[in-house]
Amino acid sequence: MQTERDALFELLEPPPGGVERMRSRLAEPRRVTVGFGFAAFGVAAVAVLAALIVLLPRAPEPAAIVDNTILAAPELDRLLGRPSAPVPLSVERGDQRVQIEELPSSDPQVRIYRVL
Amino acid sequence: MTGVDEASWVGLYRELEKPLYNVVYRWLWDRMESQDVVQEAFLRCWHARGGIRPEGFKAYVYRTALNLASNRRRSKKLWRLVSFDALREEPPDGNDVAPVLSREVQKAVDGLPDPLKRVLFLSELAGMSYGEIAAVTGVEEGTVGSRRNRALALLRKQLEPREGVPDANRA
Repeated sequence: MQTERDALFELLEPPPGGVERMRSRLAEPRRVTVGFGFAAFGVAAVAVLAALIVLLPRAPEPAAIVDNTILAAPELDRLLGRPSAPVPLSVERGDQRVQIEELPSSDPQVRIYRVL
Repeated sequence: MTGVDEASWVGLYRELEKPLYNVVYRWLWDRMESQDVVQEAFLRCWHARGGIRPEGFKAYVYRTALNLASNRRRSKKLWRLVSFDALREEPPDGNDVAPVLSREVQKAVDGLPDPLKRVLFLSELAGMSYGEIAAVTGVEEGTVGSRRNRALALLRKQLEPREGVPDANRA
């Protein structure tokens, strides 16, 4: 009668056709296989990344890029097609500011000054 | 082993298939998967043959096959855990025409620490000397002997009420 010891250390016959399969596998082009460890690491990394994207607090909305006070600057009137507000004119001769006097004009687009 | 051709490689496979298959089978308990692991080990060695010395080939292919078998076993256990298959009894390999070991013996073998199991089956199934086993496992010959004895003692303890296991005093 066969004992457990005999069965445990008995040499079993491999499945038939092993040599032929080996021969054909040798002839196949080399396969690149991804190991289980790499695959598990990849899945875990994707899961962590997804969790971070979902759970991390969102950054606050960016502040208004253009401040309205900048848009109100008179230098932008012509650029934005607004009517220009009257700007006080100053004239300098050498290092000294001289006085000017505005004269009446019949054309509203034309202003006439006289240097005093 | 740069100069070796495919025909010679198949010859090496033919020579080593049976003992290697038998060692790997005690890890996986599945005939087709064990044969696949043996072939995968030979394929890997084939692609790495440029860096293998002829005198070190046997140790190299056994080491590769044992590492593959250990990894597959670990993966299978993990997948069983994930898919809750562990709750079911694992069926034995139904296609096996060879004597099927009882679940108790399989469990006792599976419960052996990997380094002890390697030494035991390389000695008992591959018929390797302690020196050859030392080359495969990377430990001293003295360690091989003590591991073999510990493996047998553990198996005997597990299976005490059942049949005996080989004499631990074998040289």
